[in-house]
Amino acid sequence: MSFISLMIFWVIMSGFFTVTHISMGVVTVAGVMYVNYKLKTHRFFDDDMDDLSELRFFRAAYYVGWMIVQIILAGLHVVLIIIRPKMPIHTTMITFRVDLPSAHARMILGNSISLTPGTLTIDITGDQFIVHAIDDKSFDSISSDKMPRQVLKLFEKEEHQVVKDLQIITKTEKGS
Amino acid sequence: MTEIQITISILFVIIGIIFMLVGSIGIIRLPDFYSRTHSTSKSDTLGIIFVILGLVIYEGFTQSSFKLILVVLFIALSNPIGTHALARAAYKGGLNPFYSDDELKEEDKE
Repeated sequence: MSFISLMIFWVIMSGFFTVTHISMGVVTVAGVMYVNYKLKTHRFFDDDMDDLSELRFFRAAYYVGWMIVQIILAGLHVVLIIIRPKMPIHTTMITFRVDLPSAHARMILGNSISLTPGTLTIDITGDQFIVHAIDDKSFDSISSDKMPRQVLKLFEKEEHQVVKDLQIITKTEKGS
Repeated sequence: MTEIQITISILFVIIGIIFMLVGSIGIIRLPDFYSRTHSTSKSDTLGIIFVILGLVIYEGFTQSSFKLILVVLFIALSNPIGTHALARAAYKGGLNPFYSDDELKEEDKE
């Protein structure tokens, strides 16, 4: 499976169909697969997924489109903050716990948080997220549970509350 | 046809360069490391995507433009991971973020 996809990738990248080029491709792909074999079988988390069988593909297509819109909005948001002379920032840290089925879902949520306007994932330990937000509006999508539900819908049909124990830190803690 | 194509591609490249310029200005203007990371990650991602899309339009429907679209995909995937790695390293290193409320209090005292 991965051999075929890598081979297609090689052919598209090279653009040649001669025997020499194809055989070079076979050797290279075999080498890449040999090097990556250990990485693929190693499990970083207990609930690591082996393949993408749990992913719902139509949802994923919708999600990619939604993500592109979010990237553009995020760029505009940051640019508008920077070029305004007053620079209306109000930086806060948010911590919350999530209830998601697997480590991959948490990884997708972390990446999505970094891409959506005004928020940046700083740390993920277990199901505890630490997120930096540049102004007050930017963590609305997290506190209203809208975006984490998009991620949940990628994997499961029924919805439930994802974000728990939301905490907003606006000041430096004393004594730390 | 080709003139329209070239005009559109130049427009896209200019938009991308503006985004990257504002992102660089943001690195100087914003107060602390974490908010600077915002400006580099978001506006630079968008800037690079716009520049490469401009090149894709210039190139037309060829093999090189397909490769460029792949470059866009990889940048969009890897940029949040890179910024997350930077921010996490800073957080683990014990760098305290700047809070706007802290500064307000100090101003009140004075």
